[in-house]
Amino acid sequence: MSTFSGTASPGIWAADSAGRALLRRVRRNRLAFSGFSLTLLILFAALFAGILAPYDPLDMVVTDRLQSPGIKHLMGTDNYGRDILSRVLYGAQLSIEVGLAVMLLTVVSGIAFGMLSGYFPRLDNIIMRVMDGMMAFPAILFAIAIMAVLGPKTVNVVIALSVVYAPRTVRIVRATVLAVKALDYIEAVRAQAAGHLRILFRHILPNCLSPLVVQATFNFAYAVLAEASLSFVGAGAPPPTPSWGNILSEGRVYMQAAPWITIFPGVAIAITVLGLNLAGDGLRDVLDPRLRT
Amino acid sequence: MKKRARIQAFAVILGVLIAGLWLTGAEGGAPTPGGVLRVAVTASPPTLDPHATTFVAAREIGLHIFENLLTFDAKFQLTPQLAERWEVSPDGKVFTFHLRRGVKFHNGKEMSADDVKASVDRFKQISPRRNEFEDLAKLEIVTPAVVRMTLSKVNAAFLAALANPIGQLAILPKEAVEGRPINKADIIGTGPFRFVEWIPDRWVKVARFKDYKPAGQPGIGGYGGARTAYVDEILFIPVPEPGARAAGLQSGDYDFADFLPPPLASRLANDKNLSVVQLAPYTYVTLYFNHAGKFKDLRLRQAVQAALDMEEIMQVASEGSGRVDPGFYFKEQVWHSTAGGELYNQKNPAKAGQLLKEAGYKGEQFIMVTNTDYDYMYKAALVILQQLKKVGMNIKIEVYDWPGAIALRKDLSKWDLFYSSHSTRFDPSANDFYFMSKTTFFAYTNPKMVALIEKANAILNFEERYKTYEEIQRLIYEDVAMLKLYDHNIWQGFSKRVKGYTPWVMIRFWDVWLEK
Amino acid sequence: MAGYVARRLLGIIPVLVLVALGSFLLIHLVPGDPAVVMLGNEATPAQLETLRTQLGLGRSLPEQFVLWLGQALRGNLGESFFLGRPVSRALIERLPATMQLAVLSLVFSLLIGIPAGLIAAVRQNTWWDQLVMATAIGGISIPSFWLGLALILVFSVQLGWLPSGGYTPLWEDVGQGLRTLILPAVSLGSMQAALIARMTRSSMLEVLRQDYVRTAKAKGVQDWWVIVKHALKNAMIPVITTIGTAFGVLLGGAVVVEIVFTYPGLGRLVVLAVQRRDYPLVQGALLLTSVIYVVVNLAVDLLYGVFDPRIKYE
Repeated sequence: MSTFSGTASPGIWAADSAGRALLRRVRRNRLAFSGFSLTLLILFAALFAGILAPYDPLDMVVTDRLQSPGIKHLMGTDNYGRDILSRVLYGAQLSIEVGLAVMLLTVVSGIAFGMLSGYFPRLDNIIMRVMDGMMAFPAILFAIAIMAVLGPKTVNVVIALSVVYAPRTVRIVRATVLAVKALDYIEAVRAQAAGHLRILFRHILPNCLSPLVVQATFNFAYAVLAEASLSFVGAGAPPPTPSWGNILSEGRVYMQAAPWITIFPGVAIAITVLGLNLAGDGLRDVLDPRLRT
Repeated sequence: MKKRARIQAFAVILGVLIAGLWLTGAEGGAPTPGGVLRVAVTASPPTLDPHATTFVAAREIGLHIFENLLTFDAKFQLTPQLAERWEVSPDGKVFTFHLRRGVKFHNGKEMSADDVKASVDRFKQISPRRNEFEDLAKLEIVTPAVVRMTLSKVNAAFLAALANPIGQLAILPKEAVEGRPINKADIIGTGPFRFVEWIPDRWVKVARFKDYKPAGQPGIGGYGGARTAYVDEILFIPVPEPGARAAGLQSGDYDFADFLPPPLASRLANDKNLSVVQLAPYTYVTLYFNHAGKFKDLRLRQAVQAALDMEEIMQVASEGSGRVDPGFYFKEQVWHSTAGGELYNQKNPAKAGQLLKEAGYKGEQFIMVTNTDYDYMYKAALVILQQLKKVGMNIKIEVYDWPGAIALRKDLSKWDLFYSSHSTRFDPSANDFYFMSKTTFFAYTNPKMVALIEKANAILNFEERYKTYEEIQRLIYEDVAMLKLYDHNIWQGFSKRVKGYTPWVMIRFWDVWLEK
Repeated sequence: MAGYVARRLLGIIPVLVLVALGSFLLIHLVPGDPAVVMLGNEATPAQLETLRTQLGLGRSLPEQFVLWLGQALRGNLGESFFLGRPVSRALIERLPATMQLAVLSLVFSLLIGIPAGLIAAVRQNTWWDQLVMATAIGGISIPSFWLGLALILVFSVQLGWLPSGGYTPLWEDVGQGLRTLILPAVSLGSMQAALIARMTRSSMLEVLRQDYVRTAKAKGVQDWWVIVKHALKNAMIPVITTIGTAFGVLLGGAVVVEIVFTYPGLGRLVVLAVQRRDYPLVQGALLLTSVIYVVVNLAVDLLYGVFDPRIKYE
């Protein structure tokens, strides 16, 4: 996904023929629509995993190991004899939980630090230095190291990923705050001796929301991918809880003998991230055409 | 007449030639020296200093470079190596070793008693196994070829401790070890291969030592007897990913790949250019109880013991390349016994449930710790988790990497069940420390066990010592001190050009040659 | 300009100190220590203590940090516990492999991404455009390690055309080197290619709409020439940012791909070092990758000045 480095592209309004603009809008919205549908589909699967899953994802029937997809097991079984379909459904639950939690945490920290940073120049210096420092660490290594320190728990995955992805969000909020702060009407409000908090929350925050919402969607997608990557390298949610990443990781050795173990969770990840990306793009178009890709 | 005789003679010679060619062809031919053997191993050694570590990656290389005073043969019996013979005093406390003459180190120096003393002294200072030599009161150099060691008390395992290839008491030149701190010894030994170079994470290179003097006759096996180096060089290449080892073997990048996971091994077995063998004995998987915590109650331990289905565990964790056997020593070893075996692999969930009730179990949570570095420990843990859940136990599983798990193990308040494995031990005394209160890390205290172990350590006669260890094994089962799960074997694959390789305990590349 | 560069360089220093602190703290907070790994699991506590003191782990954390940082500032990153050699040497040995992969991935993503983005922009709203955008968004959504696994399954296992792992330096054997690099580079580069395609497209669209472009077109200059000459240069600015970010991602994000392909790069080295608690190596590696990232970003910022004369640095 496109990442913002804190600068919005120079806003040039499309002075194209109205028809073309509309056509693009509609097509974009169709993409956005499919994005939202896919995301909702995954949310549904995650929410109702308990009802949809035909088996207990942890149950092992050792005699049914490594069965290819069939009537009894629609997605086959793994090397422990566990049903892959059930595990993929519960994996959706984990991915969505982690994704949502990371999204919320990054948004909250983004607002908090972004606004502080954009509004108070002295704080800006310190906060941005720290953010730069955090962003200088390669993301996955950072997350692996944090997980190693905190220990293998799902809540720690959320913490690790939020720490890794917060700086980007902070920068975006800060950029918008800086831009808005310079506007004339803010000067006017300041001249009226309005309190800082009031200015921040009443006037500045609403303007930050659109890029923030777009970034939040992308953060959700990042988190799903990152959680899968962490689980893949063994630094994610602890077993036996199924996660798309650890299903992939455990199935890797059996790629030749039982490729279904690696195919299905990978498809699930791709669909989820695809849906979120499309939704994010669509939101971006709808909320502020100036920020389009 | 003359003509027929000549024809007959010619026919005989031809026949002999053909027979000879056919025979040599059938046996694969005589060993051909030369070539570079590229071996894909699982890990890079942390150090090559033989006194500093027991790490597998270090010792599997070290045993090609270094030698001990004595060692073990294929049946796990003591056999000479640098000492050609030894005498034990009637009271069992004084050992006199007669060193072989004319044995050269890789730097050309002749091995003598000075070097033995220096090596033993250093070993006693820094080795992880030095506590096994606490009883060594005195080491005298009688002559340059005779060393005398005096113990403060009878120790039935003393010779085995000298011979143990794990954390071996390697004999190095005095100059290579004197005053050297850990990891700083020069890598100079007397073995059939000499150290050439170590490029970390690329390879360790050893080359044939031309002046090697074999320690005995061929056919002794194990680590003893004549060990002939045929190949010019061996490259030990660390390839942590099993898929990469298998792929490299198939593509010809490696001649030998160690430790292949079963799915890969079965695939490689179909390749006409490769041989795939199972290495046994290798290790057996173990489960420890924390006797200072909830498992203080014998009935809870018995419940776990009753619930487990070892075949299921073995099927998943080793994909069938394992053995369900109650012995704490392998079938291949003279120390093997089935004492207490009726309590092994009970597969009895009903009995387990009953025992839990008797113990008044109310659903308290047990913490089970396993790790990701040892695949089979991880898999065994997941299977056991399910088996114990089925009998109604509330288990929480925690997964770390190996160093993290070991760090956690020290804190007895943090775990109830812990996984590990026992690799091949060469003498039963190697397992003593688990059951002695001073050295156990799982808080096991049983005076009866301590008494039995101390008794065994003072018996020099094999049959009596064996009987005592049988009693010890029976007690382990009846007291449920810890659990043995199953024998885990590993697969190894190599090119058909590699000849003479016999799988035993660890990779060994002497008596191995590359066919042209 | 020189003043600007100097000021920016000075500004990096506190960031690097923070990075150093972060690297140090992170690895030291991980439970377990290298002594356990080195001596094996049957070492006695007394022995572990002796080794720990030898390794310098007996001192307090702040003391260790200051000692390490002081040396690091002088260019001495210490000695790796497990490799028995200076950290800087170990890192430099790995750097070529990582660089080759990063550069090849970047080249791949540029070769695919920029033309794709250009075509999509020029043929906007035609099926070309839709195809490119659909593929791009697919490329962003597929996890790189899954792509890697799939590529191995197809090209190594089934077809046997390419090796499934390993590494041969390009200067040793170009052919073999490229064969080992292709699959990991494609796995890594696909996501970046997609991002660059999208970014190029949107950037080009912006520029194409501008008056001066339309004027040039109206003047009758050849269609294609107009694009290349006037538009591309201006369109490159946001793309350069993406390249900078891409490089950073490729350096660190390569970890998972390196693991899938057993590629001996920095990422795998760090993960292995974390597993073994090789403190100096982890600290040094994290510091190095962060420094590279920061420097690349600075270079990217300065490149802006080359491409956009409107931006002046004082």
